[in-house]
Amino acid sequence: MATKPSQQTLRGVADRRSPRSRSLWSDAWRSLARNRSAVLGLVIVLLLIFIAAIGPLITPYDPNKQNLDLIKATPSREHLFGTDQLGRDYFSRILAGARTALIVAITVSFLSCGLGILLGAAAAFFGGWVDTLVSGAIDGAMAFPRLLLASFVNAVAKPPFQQAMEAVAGVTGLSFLTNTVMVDYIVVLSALALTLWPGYARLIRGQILALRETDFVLAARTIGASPTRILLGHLIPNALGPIIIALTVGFGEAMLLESSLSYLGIGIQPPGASWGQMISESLDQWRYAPHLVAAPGFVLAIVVLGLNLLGDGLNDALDPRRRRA
Amino acid sequence: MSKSIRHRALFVLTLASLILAGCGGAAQPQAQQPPPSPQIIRETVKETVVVQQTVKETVVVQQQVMVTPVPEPVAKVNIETPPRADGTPAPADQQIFRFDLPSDFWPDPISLGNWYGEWNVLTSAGLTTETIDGSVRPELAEKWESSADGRLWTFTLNKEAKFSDGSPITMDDVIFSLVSFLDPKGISEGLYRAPFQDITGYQEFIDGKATEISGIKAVDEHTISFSLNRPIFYFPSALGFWTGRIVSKKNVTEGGQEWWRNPVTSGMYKVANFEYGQRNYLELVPNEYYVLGPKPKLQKIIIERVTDPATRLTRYLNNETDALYYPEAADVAAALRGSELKDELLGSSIGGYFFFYFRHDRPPFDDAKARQAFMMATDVDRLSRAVLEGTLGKTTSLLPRNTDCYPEADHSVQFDPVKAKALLAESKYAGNPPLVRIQVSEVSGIPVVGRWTRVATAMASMWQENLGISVQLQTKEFEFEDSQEGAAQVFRSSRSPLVLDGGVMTLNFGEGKGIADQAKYINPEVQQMLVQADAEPDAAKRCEMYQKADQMLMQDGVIAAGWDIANWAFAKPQVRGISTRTRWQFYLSIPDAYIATP
Amino acid sequence: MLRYITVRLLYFVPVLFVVSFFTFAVGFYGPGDPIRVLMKENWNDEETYQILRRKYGFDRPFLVQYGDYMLKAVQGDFGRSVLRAMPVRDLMLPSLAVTAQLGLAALASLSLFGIGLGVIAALKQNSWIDYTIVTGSIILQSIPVFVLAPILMFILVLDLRLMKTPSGWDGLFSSKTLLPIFLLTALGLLVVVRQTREAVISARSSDYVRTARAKGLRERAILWRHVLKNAMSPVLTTIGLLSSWLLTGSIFIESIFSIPGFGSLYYGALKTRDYPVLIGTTLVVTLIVMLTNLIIDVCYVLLDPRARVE
Repeated sequence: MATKPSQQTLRGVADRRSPRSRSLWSDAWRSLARNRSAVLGLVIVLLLIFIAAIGPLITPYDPNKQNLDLIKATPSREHLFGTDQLGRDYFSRILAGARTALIVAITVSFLSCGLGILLGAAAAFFGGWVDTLVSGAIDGAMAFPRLLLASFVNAVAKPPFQQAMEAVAGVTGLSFLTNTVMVDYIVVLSALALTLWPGYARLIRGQILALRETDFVLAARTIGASPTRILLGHLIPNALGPIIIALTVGFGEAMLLESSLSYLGIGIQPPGASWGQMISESLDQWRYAPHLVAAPGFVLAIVVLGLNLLGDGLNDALDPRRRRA
Repeated sequence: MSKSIRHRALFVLTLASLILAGCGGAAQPQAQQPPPSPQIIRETVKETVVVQQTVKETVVVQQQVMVTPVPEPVAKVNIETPPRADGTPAPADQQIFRFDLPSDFWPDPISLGNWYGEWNVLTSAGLTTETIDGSVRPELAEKWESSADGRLWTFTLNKEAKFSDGSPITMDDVIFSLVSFLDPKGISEGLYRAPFQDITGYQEFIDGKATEISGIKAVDEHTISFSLNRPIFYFPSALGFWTGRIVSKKNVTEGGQEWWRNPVTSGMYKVANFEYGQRNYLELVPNEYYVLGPKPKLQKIIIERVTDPATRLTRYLNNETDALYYPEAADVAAALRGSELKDELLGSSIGGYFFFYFRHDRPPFDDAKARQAFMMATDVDRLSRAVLEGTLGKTTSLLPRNTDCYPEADHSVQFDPVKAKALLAESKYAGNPPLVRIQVSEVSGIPVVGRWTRVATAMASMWQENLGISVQLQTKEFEFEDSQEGAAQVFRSSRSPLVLDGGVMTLNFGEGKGIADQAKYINPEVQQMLVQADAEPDAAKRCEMYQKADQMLMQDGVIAAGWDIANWAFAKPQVRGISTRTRWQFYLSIPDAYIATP
Repeated sequence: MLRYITVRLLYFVPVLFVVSFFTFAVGFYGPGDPIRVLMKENWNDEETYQILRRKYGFDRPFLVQYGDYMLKAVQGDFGRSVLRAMPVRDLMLPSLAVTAQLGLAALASLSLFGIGLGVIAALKQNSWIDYTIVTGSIILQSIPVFVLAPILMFILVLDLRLMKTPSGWDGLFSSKTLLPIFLLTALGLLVVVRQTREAVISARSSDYVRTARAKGLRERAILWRHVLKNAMSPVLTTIGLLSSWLLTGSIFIESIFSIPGFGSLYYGALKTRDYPVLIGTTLVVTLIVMLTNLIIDVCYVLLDPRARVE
């Protein structure tokens, strides 16, 4: 590929003519590895996953251990990010928050994106009453007060869920099921997912509406490919680029939305640690103990940045037409 | 100046580090961490709040590792800023006083939909009113007397009293105002009617069996009498509340549902300009017809609605307002530590308290010893100092502060973790204490993650450490949500006194009322004492009885831990003569307030 | 086309009913109670509570309340706010005007900066200009607005002394709207920039652009005639999504700057569970969201003949 002529006008043609000795995915991986900012994004995301996985092993202190004699301490050798309003080690809490952040981002994005792709694709591809129905659902869900829904799910769905979990734990002896922090995650996450799918659905619907009339779909139709095959084999893969962008943005959006839910008190319950909650809880302190806002804000921003850079890189890498020479 | 550099530095630093990290890769701080000790690693793997079984193990470990054997005493928080020195008043055209309120407000001294409506004492006269030292003084009523049995009260009205439009305040207006205030079915919500429920014929009126309250009678054109079902010697104090004041009947009946858009006032100020809806703005000027008290020195008061606390603070710092009411606890704490605002801080503990209470019908708090154990395991003073940063002090009595009845002695249960453990072992839940759930909500209007959640978190940790039990936290948006029947046993609430008298004890803890009702607390002995106290004509003896009831209630754990409500406010140095000692921010001291020349 | 629009408009009716029904149900069965909120610390006075419930008609069965509300809503009467002592319609109409002005201003600035920066980033793909634009908009997006707003306000008002405290609403053309509009733009910037950048990049590498280049068309003409025109369809979707989002998503910004708009009206009603207001605002938002979606779809067809309707 590197030996091809570098004129802009010929690049795309050159790409297409290049020998298909490597698979799409190994090509994508090479392209990604060459993209410096994408690699940085990948490193940040891997680091987040690493910390989330082994976090409890490397936290210097118990993230929930309070020390009322040492509240809002400024960063020092003992407490790298200082301590919070209850004297808990802030660095340990931020590490513990990585797990929350990752679970929130992954679950919410995949749940809502999956639902969105399913409904959006169906609407665009089948049209007719399916489209009418889905479009109505999209309009309704987008207009429905998101915060009210989250608060409703939080209050109404949580107690029976908690009881069900307790019952299951009673039978199976899996005591971790009754851990309140865990229950909160599941409930809050499904509430978030319920409010975020319409964005994805609309996006993919628009994409497929545009792609439906393209030559390759017409060609596929002409040779008698089944609708499912056209949908899965042609339309969705081709609409993947914008979805990946939306998804990486969605990861960050889910984390930020969790923080605004925390701001309203329906996020992760204390003493569980989440970055959003740490930010909103210390907001009134920003003039006096700025590290309490800056540290989680900084980490959150870094992670969102990493996700976005990775998303960009993936997008470039997955689109053969735009792979860099 | 240092402040401005700090803001800018912080902002630039945050942005710069973000950009740097974005371009060059973030420094990974945990690489510099000292290797954690193995002991701590074991600790941190566990979740703090888990099911009973697992926590039991955790707690054993925690006791070995963490419990401080002898708790060092923590100094009590005392909130009382000194009064300001006198100055030379500025000329009349500079006597303007501006402040913001966090929520909607409208000039209606009868209905209580507006939460921050206490300023209505400025625009409306009551039969009686309060002074800043917590006593009752005459306003529309020149004098009053009671029958010997305390069941008939007669008030003589001031004959010169006029509304702001110059028309006289008649008996018709007075009765109309009181009846409207007491009728939740009409223009009022009747929220503060508790002190008046013993007026003869009131219940029949509420139940719709009578069209008027038979116990309220016009004796003649300037004398009104109230007959009561039982003797209540604090009755004049109840009439001094900030709502239930006098409005013009003509104004209300002709003005319709939103009569307060063009109000005729009976108080020392009248409304010069009022906007409500898009913008909420109010301008008050002295009412020239007001003869019921001293003439105010401030010639103009300007109130505006600004919902966001940071915006209110910015406006105050930028000299767009002269006082900052309802400041954020963080800003008060910073001023107490000596921030640039330390000389502008005004504060007093007042009657009323924020508190956590036990549900006495739910285990383990149906056992008196268990209740005491939990109270002894709570270091309320430490919570005041550390978590609340000295902005609220411990409640030592349930009687209203700054009144004659308020006891010098501390009636609360003292912190004693050793004894707490022993008591729990003596209770019927020894060895097998149930999981304790604390339901916490913040005070309405404030983001839900806040100081009360933190206090509850710290309290849970104290109980875990000192009693070896497992505690769980449930945050709720509203304090009245007890949706999980049978779940939480400890709740947060707050209450301020309806009357500035020991009579609040009856209103809050008498049979099936107030806090006792919330806590499902039943104590016939205390109820009996309170009934006797209300009927006691001798003020000193009455107080004695209330104090005795107070002692019993505090020791019996009707509240788990309480903090006296404190009025905090910032006011510019040129604002003089004001005090936060009253229940309603500065408002009762406004007649004395003035702007001094710099 | 006309038939398509009519059909879409017709199906607004069932959607509106379903949404209002769910909102009402959530309000009825969900947590919180405007009467208890109104009663504040006296919430456990059961007698008063029952009287007030009767007074506001909240003691009636669910379907009766819903039917009554909808019947009146169809006639333009959305009931009376429990906590703000005003008819809901009088609260909604002026605040809608405020938010519409603010939202349109933000949308204009968003389109201008978002599309502009996106095109620049695409043209300078993988250069430091591209990185700065993308990273900058990511950073603006990743700081929660309730953190950014007070910090910026402090700096602008107290440190730099550039303006009076931006609180309230003095019309669109006052210094008070600068910060809110900036923040609203910052909130949506990333999505627009990336969608534009993405669309322009893929349009530039498409066959018709190559053909145009091969025909010897000048780069500028290619950009305007081929690239931008074709890239606008996904960008339009995004901006369309944002426009309804600007309406409801300005909740925090309007609350922080005390702007009497739709967002702060909704947020206040949500916090106090003032259901007449909550349902009224939800209905209006639903209507606006559906209208914008319809407009986007129509524009879609006009811009991109391939996406035919029906």
